[in-house]
Amino acid sequence: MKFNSKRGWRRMLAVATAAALTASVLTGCGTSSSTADTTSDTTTADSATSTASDTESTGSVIEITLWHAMSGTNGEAVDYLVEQFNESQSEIHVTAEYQGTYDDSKTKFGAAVQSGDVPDILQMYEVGTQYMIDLDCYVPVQDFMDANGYDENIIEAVSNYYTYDGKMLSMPFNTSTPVLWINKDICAEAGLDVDNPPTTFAEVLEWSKVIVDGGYCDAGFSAAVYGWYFEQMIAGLGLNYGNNDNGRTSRMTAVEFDSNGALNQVLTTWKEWMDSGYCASYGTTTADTQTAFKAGQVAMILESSGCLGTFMEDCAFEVGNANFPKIEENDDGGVIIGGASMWLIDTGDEERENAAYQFLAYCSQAEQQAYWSTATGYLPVNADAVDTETFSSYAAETPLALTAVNQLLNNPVNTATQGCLTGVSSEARSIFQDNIEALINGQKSIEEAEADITDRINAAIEDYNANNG
Amino acid sequence: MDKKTKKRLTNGLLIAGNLVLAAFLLFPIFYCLSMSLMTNQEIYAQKIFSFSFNIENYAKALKMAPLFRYILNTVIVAGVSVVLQMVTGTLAAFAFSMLRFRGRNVLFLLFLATMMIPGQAIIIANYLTVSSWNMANTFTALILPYACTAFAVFNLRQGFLSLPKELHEAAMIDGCTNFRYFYSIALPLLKPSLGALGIYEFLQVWNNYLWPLLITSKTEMRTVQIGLSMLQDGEAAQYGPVMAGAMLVLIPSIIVFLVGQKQMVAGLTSGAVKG
Repeated sequence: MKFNSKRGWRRMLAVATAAALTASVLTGCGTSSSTADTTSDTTTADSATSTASDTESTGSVIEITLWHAMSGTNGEAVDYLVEQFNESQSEIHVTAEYQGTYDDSKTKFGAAVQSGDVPDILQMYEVGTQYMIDLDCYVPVQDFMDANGYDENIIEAVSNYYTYDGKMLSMPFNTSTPVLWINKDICAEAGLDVDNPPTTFAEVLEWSKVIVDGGYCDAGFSAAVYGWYFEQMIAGLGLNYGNNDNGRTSRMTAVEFDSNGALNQVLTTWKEWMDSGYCASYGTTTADTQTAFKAGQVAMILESSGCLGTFMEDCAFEVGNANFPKIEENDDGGVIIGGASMWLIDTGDEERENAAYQFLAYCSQAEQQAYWSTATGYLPVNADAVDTETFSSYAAETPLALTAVNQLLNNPVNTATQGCLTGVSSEARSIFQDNIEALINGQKSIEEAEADITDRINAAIEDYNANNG
Repeated sequence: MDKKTKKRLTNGLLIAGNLVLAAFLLFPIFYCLSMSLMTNQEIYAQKIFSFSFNIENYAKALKMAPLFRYILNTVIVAGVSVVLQMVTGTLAAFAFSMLRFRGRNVLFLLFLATMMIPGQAIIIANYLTVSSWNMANTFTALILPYACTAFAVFNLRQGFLSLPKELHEAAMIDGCTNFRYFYSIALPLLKPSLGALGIYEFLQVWNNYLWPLLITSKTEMRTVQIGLSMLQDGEAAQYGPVMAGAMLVLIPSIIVFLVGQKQMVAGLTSGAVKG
C-alpha cells in the first residue's frame, strides 16, 4: 500500500469521519437484501442469465459482488480470475468492482456498512486487519474452510498474518515481501561479488562506500522514508512491535519497540545511512525511489517484491535482488508479509456467504495462485503453486522471482514475523515518517525521535482502543 | 529612435515575454504528452522528447480502463451539474441581490456558511442520504450534490450587484417585470461571469474523486478520475499509461475552457448603459 501525501490529509479526514460515524452508528453489517438489490440490476443480471442459459442450469444463479483495490495489470488479472471462476461452474456468478486504493475502499466500506450496501467479499490490506476485526462485519473464513474440508497448502508465514486467536479470519490473496533490489551492472563494475549480495545493513553500507568512493554511482543505497520498512526492520531483529505478543493474544495496548531496543537500533541504522554520505533519500513517495533506481541514480534500494515486473521491463541494466537485509545476523528475525486478503462479509445469508467462500477457495488453489503470481509479481500464497507448470516455467525464465518466494518459505514463524495487529497502523507509519525526515534533516536527535515516536503511537493506540474497546 | 520603432520594440518585447511565460505554463502538458508517447526505457532514461511515437501506452490505458465511457459519463455529469448550477445560482443570486425581503441577509449568510464546511466532512452523510433513496449507481446521484452550490450563488450575486442600479430602475419605470429584467437584461450582461463560473465549476466536478467513488460501484458508472486511478499499478509506478490517460482526459476540459472563454469575451462586448 502506498500513501499519497498530496491527497493524504483529505483522505485522512474522510477516513476519520467514516470511522467516527461507524463507531457511533454501528449496528451490524447492514441488511443482505440491499446487497441483492445492488447486484441484481441490468448488466450483471444480463450476464448472469446468459451464463445460466448457456449451461442449461435450472437453478437460480447466486450473484456475488467483490470489492477490490487492484488497478493496472493487477486489476486485469483479478478480472481474469473472476472470469475463469464464472466459467468453471454455473451456480455462482462473481462481479468484481474496483473501489480505488486500499485506503479508498476502506473508507467506502466503512460508509457502506452503515447504508447496508455491502459487498459479499472485500479485499482489505494487511494493516486493515484490526479495523476489520473491530468493525465486526465478517464471517471468519476458517468456519467455511472447516465445514468444507479445505486442504490447500497455504504458506504458514502468510496464513499466520491473518490468524487471530487461532482462527484464520480472511483468505490471503495477494502477498509480497520487501527485498533488496540491486543494479548488478554498477555493483559488478565496482568489483563487488554480485552473487553474494549483502545480508546485513552494515554490508549494504560497505558496498555503498565502494560504489560511491569509486565513482560508479552517485548513491550506493536508498530506502524510501516509508513506515513499512520500519516494521520490517523490527521484525528482522526478531523483536516485537507491540505488547500482548504483537497484539496477537489480546488487543495491543502499547508499543514494545521502545523497551526492547528495536526502535533505537532502527533509528541508529537509518541515521548511519544518512550520515555516511553514501546513501540518498528520495522522500516518502516510494515511486520516487523506484524511479531513481530505474534511472541508475542509486545502486541498491529497498522495495516490494511486487516490483519485479516493472524493474525487468523498465531497467536498461541487469537487475538483481536479495533477501531483505537485517540490522544484525540472527535466527529469529524475518520479514512480515505485505499485501491484502479477502474478507467474507457477514450478509446474514449463509448461502451467499458459502458461494463467496467457494470463490475464495478457488482463488487460493495452486493453479490460480500460480497464474496470479506470474501475472502480477505478487507471491503465491499457496506453497504448491511453486511446483505447477505455470510457475516453474515462469521461474525458469525469471529466476529473480524465486528470491522472495524462498525468503517467504524460509521465514521463521514467530510473533515478530507475524506482524503487529493494531488499528493505528497507517497513523503509526506517518508518525515514523515524520520523525525519520526530522532525523535526516538534523532537526531531531535519535533520542528525541525515539521519544516522539513512542509517545505519539502509544497515544494513538490508547485513543483507538478507547473508541473501539 | 522614432515612435514607430519604439512601439514595435515594446510590442516585440511583450510578445517575447509572453512566449517565455507560455513555455513555462505549457511545459508540463508538453512533457505529459511526450512521456505518453515514449517507451518505459525512454522515460527512465529521462528523455524530454522522443521520436519513437509509441502509441502503445494509449492502447494499454484503454485496455486497463474504459476511458471513453468514463469521459462520456463525466461530460454528462459535469455538463448537467454546471447547467443546473447556472439555473439555481442565477435565480438565487438575483433574489439575494435585487429583491428585498425579510431575512434576506441572514439567509444569505447561512448560504455562505455552508462554504466554510469542508466537503469531505459531509460526504459520508451525503452518501448515506443518497444511497438510502436507492440512487446508488445513477447519474442523478452523481449530479445531485452539485446541482446547487453556495459558491455559484455568491459569485453571481457579486455579478448582479456590479450592474448599475440605474439599469434596474429604468427597466422598472418602463414597466418591466423582475423576471423580464432578470432574463432579458441582467443575464446577457452576466455572460462573462457565467463563462468564468462555468469553467470553474465544470473543472471542479470533472476532478471529483471521492464522491463518484462512494456513490457508484459498477465499473460502467465510474468517472474519469477513478479511471485514471485504475491505470496506476499498486506496487510499482507505471508512468506511460497514466500520462496517456491524462492526455485523453485533458481534451474535454480544454474544449470547455475554449467555449467558456468565448462567452467571457462575448459578454464583455454585449453593451452597457450609455453614459
